[in-house]
Amino acid sequence: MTNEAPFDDRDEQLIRLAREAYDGPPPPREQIWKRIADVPGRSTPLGRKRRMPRRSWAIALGGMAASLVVGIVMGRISADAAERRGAQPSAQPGAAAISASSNEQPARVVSQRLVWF
Amino acid sequence: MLTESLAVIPTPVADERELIARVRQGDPSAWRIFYDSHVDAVHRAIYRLVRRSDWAAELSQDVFVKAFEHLSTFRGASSIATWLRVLAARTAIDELRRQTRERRHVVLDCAAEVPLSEPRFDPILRDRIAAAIDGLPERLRLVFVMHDLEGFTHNEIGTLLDVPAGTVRRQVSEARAALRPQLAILKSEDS
Repeated sequence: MTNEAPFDDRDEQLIRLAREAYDGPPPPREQIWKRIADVPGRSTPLGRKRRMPRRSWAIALGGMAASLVVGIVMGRISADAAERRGAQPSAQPGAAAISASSNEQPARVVSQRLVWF
Repeated sequence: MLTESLAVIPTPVADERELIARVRQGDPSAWRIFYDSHVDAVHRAIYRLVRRSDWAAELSQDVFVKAFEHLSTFRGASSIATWLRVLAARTAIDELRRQTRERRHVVLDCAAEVPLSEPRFDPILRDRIAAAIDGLPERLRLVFVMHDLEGFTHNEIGTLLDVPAGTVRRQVSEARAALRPQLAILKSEDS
């Protein structure tokens, strides 16, 4: 308590009286405890034990994995459909797509690249 | 929910460190002992700052919920009582700031009917001293309560209120200077 405010006898008396005068009512112990226990959606003494650790991370990772799987499946379906329509994927689709001189259905090749991308 | 743990009979603990370890492990009886050990001090500190019994009960609840959530961050650099005291003061100050911003009254259903504690000295004198403290400008009242009644240091108060410690020291002196004449008047009337 260095550099604290200077303290004299008058202050001591003042503070002693103020501590007495400025005291509050006793806390409603059981009421507060019951409400601590009943706080919904927050970790409370027992709720904490039941709470799944890092649950939000698990949900986020699950969501990303599901999105990835759906994308891959839709890509394969689109590729199969394009193949059935007679598209001939180029051995070098990137080169075919950007080649201005190529007449080998560049639009389809580009769509093929997009599907696989 | 925790209602079943309300019936748990607390078992004695050797010391604070052991109690905290048990709380961290989720021992319901340790939670209750922890709560019972500190609720009076937490509630009193909050009440002195907010001056409303319903808010004090509500904010005490918040403090213990936060304490239970963040007890793992307690490193033992200070006592758990000090850690809780700072948490209580921060919670009360945040609420006072929020009230100042929003200027709205929160109606709470708790503790409005709680009787005041039995006065330990002349109730008239008590009320007048309390009124004198309540009559201080809000910032002076806060630093006076935190420093002189709750025992925070200037640095701690400065951190909590975002002001330099020197400013806090000056405000504590101002608050005492403002209260001294009140005390003198009360004493002269008393004699």
